Amino acid sequence: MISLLRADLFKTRKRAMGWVMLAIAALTIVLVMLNSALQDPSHVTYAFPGGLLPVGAILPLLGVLVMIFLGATAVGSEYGYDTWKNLLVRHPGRVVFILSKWLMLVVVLGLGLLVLLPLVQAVGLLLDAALRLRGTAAPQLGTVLLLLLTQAVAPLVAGSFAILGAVIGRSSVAGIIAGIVWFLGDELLGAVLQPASLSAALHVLQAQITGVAVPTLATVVASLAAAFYLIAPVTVATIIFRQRDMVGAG
Amino acid sequence: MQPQALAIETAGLSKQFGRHRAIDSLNLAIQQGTIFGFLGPNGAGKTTTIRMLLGLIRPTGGGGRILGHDIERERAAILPHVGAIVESPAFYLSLSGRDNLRLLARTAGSGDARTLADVLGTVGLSGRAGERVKTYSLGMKQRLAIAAALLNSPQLIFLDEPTNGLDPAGTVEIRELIGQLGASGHTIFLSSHLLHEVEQVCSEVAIINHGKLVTQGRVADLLRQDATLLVEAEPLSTLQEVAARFGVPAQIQGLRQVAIALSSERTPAFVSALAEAGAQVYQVTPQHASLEHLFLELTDNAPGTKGAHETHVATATERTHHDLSVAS
Repeated sequence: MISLLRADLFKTRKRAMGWVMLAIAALTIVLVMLNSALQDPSHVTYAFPGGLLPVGAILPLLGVLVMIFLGATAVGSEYGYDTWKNLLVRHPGRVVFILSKWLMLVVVLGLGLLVLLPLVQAVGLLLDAALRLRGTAAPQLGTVLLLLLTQAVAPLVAGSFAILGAVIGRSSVAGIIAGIVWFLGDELLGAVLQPASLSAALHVLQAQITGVAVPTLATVVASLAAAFYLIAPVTVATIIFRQRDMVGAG
Repeated sequence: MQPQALAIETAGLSKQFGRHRAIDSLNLAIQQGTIFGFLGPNGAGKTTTIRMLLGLIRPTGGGGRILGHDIERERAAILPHVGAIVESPAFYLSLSGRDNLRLLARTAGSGDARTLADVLGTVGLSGRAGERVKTYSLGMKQRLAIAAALLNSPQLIFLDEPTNGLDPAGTVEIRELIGQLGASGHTIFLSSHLLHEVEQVCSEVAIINHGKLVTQGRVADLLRQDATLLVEAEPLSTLQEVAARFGVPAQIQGLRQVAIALSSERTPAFVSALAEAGAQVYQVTPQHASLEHLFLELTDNAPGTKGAHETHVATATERTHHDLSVAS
């Protein structure tokens, strides 16, 4: 598993698109922070640890799109280039192949946050000083980190659905479509059948983290829903891939 | 006498895709150290067989062993000792040749900088290894694929149509490389429809058609069986009578010419018999036996149909068993 993960990270590192997306994410966050600060300086502050929160704010949308792209191409490109045959004749485990792709998403997301968080916090402190922001103090560090953790779940799940789509459709495009369809469908699901929606579940968990009174049952259901979405798509992808005959390109 | 170990053996190996039986009860036995040619027309099942042996697709019947390990249950024991090119070379085009090899080495959990340098040198790509694969010619990609197959110093190498799309110079290069690999002790499983190339490098071949094994044996033995003599003599009836006495069919080629399948060892006896029978012998011309001729003869007709020429030359397993019984 570690050798496969290293191989996937090596490939991701070498691709310019990943770095471009990271730069776009950073730029987007800074622009959003600047916009908020300029619009309402009396109610905004980026004092630590509050300056970390803007990173979480972009995860539900930009983070989702980035993870969909990475998940879809991690699997789909192997079909497109027909490089699966090179990999599978060197490593016998098909289950670990798919799991390593998913793990790669986890590592990339984690590393991305590690890069963005201090960067954004530094920009936040600069804005605080430059614009004399007077907003109220942010929650405690533990609360901020838990919020960020829950906000990272949606991109990870979106990436998982992209992996599943790419496995089923044997292409990056199929993976991207699957990820987007899930993302949009989950929003609709939240309106129709809330307990089954990941976004609704994450809202419940975030409310719990920020101290809003939430029934215990709702918290449990939300936790189970989040766990299900984290595990199910990649499990299904693994099962499908394990059974498949690798008969040729595309 | 100890039997020589088999690199590959299959027993009733079969693959069905829906209603289509792509491989039908394939029995192969390939000794270690052999450069083995696996021949067949397009769509015969060569690549399907390789994919089954490498675990890319699952057999629907029968089984096989590579280096003594079951191909379905013991892949983890097989893959460290096997290198392979399956169909066309496939690489990440935006990465350099060296980076592609590095990535493959990491996948296998092996391969250091020295190994990469060695394999690149072996295939003659050291000077271009830092360039992106998208700039490579087809011949360079083929060579890179061979380099990739050599990364883990394999005992057994599968080469699936390694000269596909190459120009004559590239074909010669790859052929020489294959010969070098065989000479250095590797077992090579070479799948190809380029018979001239196979005839030059392989010591043993199998011919497959419509998913069925048509023949397998040493190249020299197969070609000896396929030896043909063009005899020009009169009268034609005497020619045919003598041919019948020798137990070989006579294909009439002209007014006084027949072609008969006769080995060079029997030719003097045949000519003497013609003379004793009162025939006027004008010319006796041995036809150069070629794998191409044998291949066309064996694959022009489906096995079991009228006119089919199914031959059997002792397989490696049978020769091994024969050697054992003689020794005892």
